[in-house]
Amino acid sequence: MTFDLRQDRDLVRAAARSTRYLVVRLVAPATTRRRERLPVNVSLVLDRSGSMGGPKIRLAKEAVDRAIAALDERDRFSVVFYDDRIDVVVPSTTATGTARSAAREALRAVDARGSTNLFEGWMRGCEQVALHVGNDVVSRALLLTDGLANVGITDRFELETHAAELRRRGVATSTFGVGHDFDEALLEAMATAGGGNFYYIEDARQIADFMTSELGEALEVVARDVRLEVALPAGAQLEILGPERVERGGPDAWTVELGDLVARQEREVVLRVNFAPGTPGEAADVAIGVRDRDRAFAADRAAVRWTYADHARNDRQPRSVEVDRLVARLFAARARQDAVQLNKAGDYRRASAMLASVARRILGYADGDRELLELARELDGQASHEFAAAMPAALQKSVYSGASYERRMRSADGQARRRA
Amino acid sequence: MPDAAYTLADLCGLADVTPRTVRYYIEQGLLRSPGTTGPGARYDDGHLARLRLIRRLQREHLPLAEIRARLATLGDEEAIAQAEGPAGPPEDSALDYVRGVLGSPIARPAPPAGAAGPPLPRLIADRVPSSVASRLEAGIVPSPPPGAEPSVSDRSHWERFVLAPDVELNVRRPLTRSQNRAVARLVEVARQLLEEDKP
Repeated sequence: MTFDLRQDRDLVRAAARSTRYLVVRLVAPATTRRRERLPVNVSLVLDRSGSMGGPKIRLAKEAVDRAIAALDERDRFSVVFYDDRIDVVVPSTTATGTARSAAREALRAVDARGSTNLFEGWMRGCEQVALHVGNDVVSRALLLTDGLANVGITDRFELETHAAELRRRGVATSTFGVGHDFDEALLEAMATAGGGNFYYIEDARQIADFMTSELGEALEVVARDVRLEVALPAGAQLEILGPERVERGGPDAWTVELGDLVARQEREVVLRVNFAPGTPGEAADVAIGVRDRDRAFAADRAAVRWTYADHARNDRQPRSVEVDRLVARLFAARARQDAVQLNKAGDYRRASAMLASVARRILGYADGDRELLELARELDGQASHEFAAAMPAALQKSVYSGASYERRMRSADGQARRRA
Repeated sequence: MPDAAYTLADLCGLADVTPRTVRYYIEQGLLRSPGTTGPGARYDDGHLARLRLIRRLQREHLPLAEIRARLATLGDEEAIAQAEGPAGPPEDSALDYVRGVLGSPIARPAPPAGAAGPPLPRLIADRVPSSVASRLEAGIVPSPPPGAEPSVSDRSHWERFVLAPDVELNVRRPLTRSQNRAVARLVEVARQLLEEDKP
């Protein structure tokens, strides 16, 4: 079995609706079924607006150089630099040694200037990927910016919709925000909708590390378009605590989109199920299936059972502290992201109130657990200190991206968590 | 490539159908016969994908005759891609989509006087699921502030293609779809020529 299920409790209320949590933990296999890695087809899309001047643009170019060194003849790449003008510096090419040296040569002429047409730059990169999109390729645009989109389409909702539509057509988008002046909510939303990853790069000297790491993950994808198929008992409703997309396929059938998984990646998904009332003693089963385009998960299926019982038995039942911790961490991460946005907008009071209210809820079920108590204390501290006044931009970015990594079940530096 | 051999029981378990259904589909020409019969018969991923595809198409209320006609046009790889891919694959390719978005200048309507916010720009309104569009109209999803975006006609710009270290092609966007295709070919051919002429 390539995944397991853990439920927070075993009983549901017979006489009222109840909310219960289910953790699905997937572990991706170490290789693809064919044992060969999938070829990648990427576009590196980089900002070279005026703000990228000086060492940043040089570091970005070095990052491209280092990233493409990881590719070989199986792969394709293109390089796009954008400001208010879009330069397809390297049109999509097979990653031969010659092509990589030619790309290095072409990069020399790139310098920083102009404003930020992130939309067109990104679209041109996607176009280069789309020229060679195929069934057996990992196709991805890697978009790097250090500023706000200020030319072309800049609306978050519109960019997000395009990212989702491109994802449906086989081109994913990952985003990298450098420094303190980019819009973290926009870049994260594009990556979420685009089925890719979002990264915060505090220091331009880390651009190469982040870009190489993301490309490295693309090279190790073993399962594309992984999704959970969830069958609920009649009348139940499903919500997902993370950023994953959920679609309802029928009255009691739901699909949760997880995107691509890399070799040995561990990924938890927390489902929040709201059950309709029922008869005491009766069972309420939730069945989970895992599918992916590369059949790495071989359509595995498993189910967990809740049993209807009266209020007294429900109130006495034990809880899984492991599930509670994960649920608490996800609520805390979501609250931190929202609170950063409120703090940015100058609404310190609501930002603090939001964190304090999650802390209170966690204390309500912490039941002496040290980890949960610590989390509640941390949130309270943030509510009364960092978030109670204007936060420095660097702190906003690091809190926001840290919460983003947590919600996506990635490591503290944004990478896929792998089973050793 | 079909690469797994399943027994009838395996196949039925994976596709969630009964052996009787499998035999019926073979009789009806929806599935290839496994060649041999009896316990030695082996089925592959093509069979599995087709079974799943049949279920999906049945859920879309397609008659069996229509399903048979569709399956007949698919190779195993295509059937696998369709059965495992997301539901309701988009009709256009990623390339068509990008070029549709970038290539066609679509005027945006001005917000009507007194409206709560500007209407969803047409460029995207055509592509947004109606449920999302209605949430937007209801003000549930935040709309962009008025005047935040320049109109499409303001977005014409020059794009530079580097064909070789000393050769560039400049193109003023947006172009029509056919011009876009012509430019893409031009770049490809030019790069080939320049590659050949390398000393």
